[in-house]
Amino acid sequence: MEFISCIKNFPKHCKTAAQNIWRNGVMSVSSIFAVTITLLLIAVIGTVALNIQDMTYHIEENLTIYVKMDRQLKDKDAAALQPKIEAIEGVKQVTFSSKDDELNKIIESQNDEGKKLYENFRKNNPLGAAYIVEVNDTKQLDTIAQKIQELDNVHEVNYGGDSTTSLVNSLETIRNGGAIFVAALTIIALFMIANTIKITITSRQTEISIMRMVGASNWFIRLPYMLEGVFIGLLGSIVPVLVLYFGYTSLYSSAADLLPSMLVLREPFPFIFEVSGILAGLGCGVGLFGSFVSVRKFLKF
Amino acid sequence: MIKLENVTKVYKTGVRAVNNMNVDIGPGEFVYVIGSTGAGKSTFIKLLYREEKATSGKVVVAGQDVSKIKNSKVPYFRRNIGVVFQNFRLLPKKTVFENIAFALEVTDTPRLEIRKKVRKTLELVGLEDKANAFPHELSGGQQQRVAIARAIVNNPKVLIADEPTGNLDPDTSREIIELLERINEVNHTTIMVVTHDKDIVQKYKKRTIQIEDGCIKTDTSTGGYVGWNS
Repeated sequence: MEFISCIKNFPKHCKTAAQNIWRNGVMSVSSIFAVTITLLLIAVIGTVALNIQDMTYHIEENLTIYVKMDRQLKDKDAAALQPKIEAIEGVKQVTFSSKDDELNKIIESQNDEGKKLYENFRKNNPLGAAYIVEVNDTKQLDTIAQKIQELDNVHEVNYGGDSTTSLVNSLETIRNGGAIFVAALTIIALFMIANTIKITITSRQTEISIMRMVGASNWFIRLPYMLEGVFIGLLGSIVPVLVLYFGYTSLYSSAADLLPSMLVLREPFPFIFEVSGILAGLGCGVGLFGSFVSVRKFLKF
Repeated sequence: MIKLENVTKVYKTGVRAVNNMNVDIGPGEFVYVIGSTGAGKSTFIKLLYREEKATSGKVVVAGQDVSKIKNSKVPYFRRNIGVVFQNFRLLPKKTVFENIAFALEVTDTPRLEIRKKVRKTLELVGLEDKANAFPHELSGGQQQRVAIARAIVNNPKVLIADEPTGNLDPDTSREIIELLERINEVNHTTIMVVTHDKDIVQKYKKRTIQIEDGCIKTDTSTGGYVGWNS
């Protein structure tokens, strides 16, 4: 029965909640402000961390093993090795590059004079065929490289050696550290929001006791406060969402010229929508939960 | 309407506030409860609207055994009793109209009826022109009238007033008591007024119960004589 009454009175409770926010003036503004600041912090740090994460993955994806075959080996024989490499555990993709392909690559990288010079080798190509091996987990680069080295006709295997391994390790550290930092920050921020809401409600303890005096059921008292928390969360997320929207789109367009191609930012859409949704959701959720918990304290007998 | 049988209340601190009390107040009565500070008046009242539970004994208010009411049902029980306090206890962020309407809103009264009843009650307490004022814009006497209006708007069977004139000057106090008398006559509400105010008790003679050390010392309905020692 109480539940039905809650639903029936929902519009009225919404109105009461909005009215409370308006009439509590300064108190409401301060909680909205607190929510805004914390959500803004989460938005900025989260965006940065996510993009760094993306970049590190992107860098890792570009880490490959370069396998040079023996020079005297013909393309046809060299191509026969492909299934063997593919059979190695952890190998994601194997791309064959024939003798001509290899020469073309060198010619392309030269200036005009060098191009002419290398063009002379076209008839008698001294280069061997090659494989570009992509791996699933970059931490396995060295072990996979070793296994390829053991295969027949492999002249040289190049994956960058120790420096690559340490790069991979440090990228992983950055990622994990970023994730922990964002998680910790989010928790702290949420506590801050919940605490602010708690203060606003604690200051209205007498109000609650009067409502109980008059015979208001617990849900009748609780619902407007919870809605108030939701509204405060929503209002507080407006500025962060706007900052995210305009800030990120302009950052994205200006970063395109500044950053090297390896370090691309995430596409602004739907990224902004996703993050905005998370921000608004966080604000509302914490507002709802925070006021629920703080009101509960005053509703006990 | 209000009945206490061998009621004892001992607080956790060991204070025995009400000690084996027996009272019987019938419907439509107007009763004063007097007694010095710490005599157990407040506890007596709290037992009636289930702010406190009796340690032993039986408290019956408006036909319900108060100590048997479940926590979740307490709000519904309280709709049968109106309570007025010394410090008014109005919702500060609500207008006079909203304050009074709140007591009806909690019972899911239709909006039109709320408006009608609030108007009528405002008329009864003489504050028709203050409907849209906020409590802090009113004088003490006016605030107390609003509190009384809120307490009686849903026609409770019992109205308990805990020192309703404690914060008011003598003239205003008299007005408030006269208002309570009028409510008693018009609505036949059982009214219990806890007070310190000798003048009022002597001027508006009613049944008077004196509490001392958690017991009924005298009850004029049984031929007792009220002596002031506070």
